[in-house]
Amino acid sequence: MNRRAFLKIALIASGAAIGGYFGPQLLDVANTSVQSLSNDIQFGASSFTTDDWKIPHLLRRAGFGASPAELASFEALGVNGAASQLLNYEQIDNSNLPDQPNITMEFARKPSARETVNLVWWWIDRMVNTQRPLEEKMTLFWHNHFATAIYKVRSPYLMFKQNQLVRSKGMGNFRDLLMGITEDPAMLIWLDGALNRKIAPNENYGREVMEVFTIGVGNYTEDDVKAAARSFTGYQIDRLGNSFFNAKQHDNGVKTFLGQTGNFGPQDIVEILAAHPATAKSIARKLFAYFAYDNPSDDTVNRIANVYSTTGGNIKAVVEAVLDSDEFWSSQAYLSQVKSPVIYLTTALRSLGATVNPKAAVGTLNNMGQLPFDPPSVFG
Amino acid sequence: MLDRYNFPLLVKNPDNATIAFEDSVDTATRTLFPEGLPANVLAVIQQSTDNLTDPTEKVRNLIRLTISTPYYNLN
Repeated sequence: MNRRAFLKIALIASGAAIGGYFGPQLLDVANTSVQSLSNDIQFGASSFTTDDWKIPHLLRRAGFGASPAELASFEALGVNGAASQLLNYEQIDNSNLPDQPNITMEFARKPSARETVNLVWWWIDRMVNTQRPLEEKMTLFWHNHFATAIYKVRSPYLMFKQNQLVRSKGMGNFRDLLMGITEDPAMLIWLDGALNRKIAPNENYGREVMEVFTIGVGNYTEDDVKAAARSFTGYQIDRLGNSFFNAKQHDNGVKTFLGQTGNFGPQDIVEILAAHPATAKSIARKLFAYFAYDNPSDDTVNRIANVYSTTGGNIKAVVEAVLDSDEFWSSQAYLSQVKSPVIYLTTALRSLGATVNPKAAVGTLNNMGQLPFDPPSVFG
Repeated sequence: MLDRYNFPLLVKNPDNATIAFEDSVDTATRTLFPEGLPANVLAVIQQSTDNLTDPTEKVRNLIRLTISTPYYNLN
């Protein structure tokens, strides 16, 4: 949704909210005001005579907004210093946050509503209170990219483990992240990798790893899907919820995958996909859209993809290139996104320092259509 | 949509929030949109909260109205 379309909806929605509470006499005022805004406002850097918009813009995109005190501390660093602090978060102490949610820390495929709420709230609370906002923003990005839903996994524990995986590897090397996801127990359940045996290959993960996670549609054939599925055979999950590779269930035959032939296993396929130029472009395009704006030019995508390729898939380098780009600091990027429900909620809580009833807030997120750990499909 | 705009009513401890009822509308709304809202939007919020005497209700409704604006909704 673009800004103009959004403004029309916001006009109706905010008018309804205001009118519903304060009466029709103010509805006219509000409608007139918002209507005039949609005509007059100069959304964009060009409308600002100073750089006052830059730090709020950075903190909204690379974080979850900021309280006045936090905003002041970032403004004191200047734009480059603020971006650097967001990017280089490894040394920032985050020990005030709970390490784990209040869920049963063992593998049982019996999710309770209480545990699901506790799991979701644990993550929302991290977004609101973390001292490393970009870490959680990247965790949210990869949760959407490797969309896995609790309704099929049916284990809050495994969903938590996957969340920890993408948090720990989310700014590292894409190959390592993809390998971790390939072996991740929640993913093995979600895309049926744990059912993928040499006598009956299951193509679900082999297809999605190319269609959604890496090179994208148009860059592979059905034969490549079959070869990938055979190469991924052998993963299973033990009674403790750990994945392991059962060599007896792995297809050791020769496969031809994306023009290369060999006795490929999971790591080979991951290596080939992570190094593929189409993966560089798809990850660059998606990260750019996440932080800056939709539909970047081919030149922009190629420039960011080149960072991916020349660094061997270093995600942090790609994110840094996006945040350092002229496009990120342009009027085209400024306020060009509509807040998702999760961002809408967490930004308000972080800015205000307010507390809410977790169960009610999680219910509100569900009503708004974005419940973490429960994406609607593999497309996030 | 109404569920969405009812969200601030779930705030348990508005007194602990960074917005206080003594703040001017401009100062208070900058907590949620640091660049500052245009004068005509501030006027709507001012008019909509002036007559509320209960400080908690005043803060709640100021938050509610601010996050209903396109400025807060856009990222």
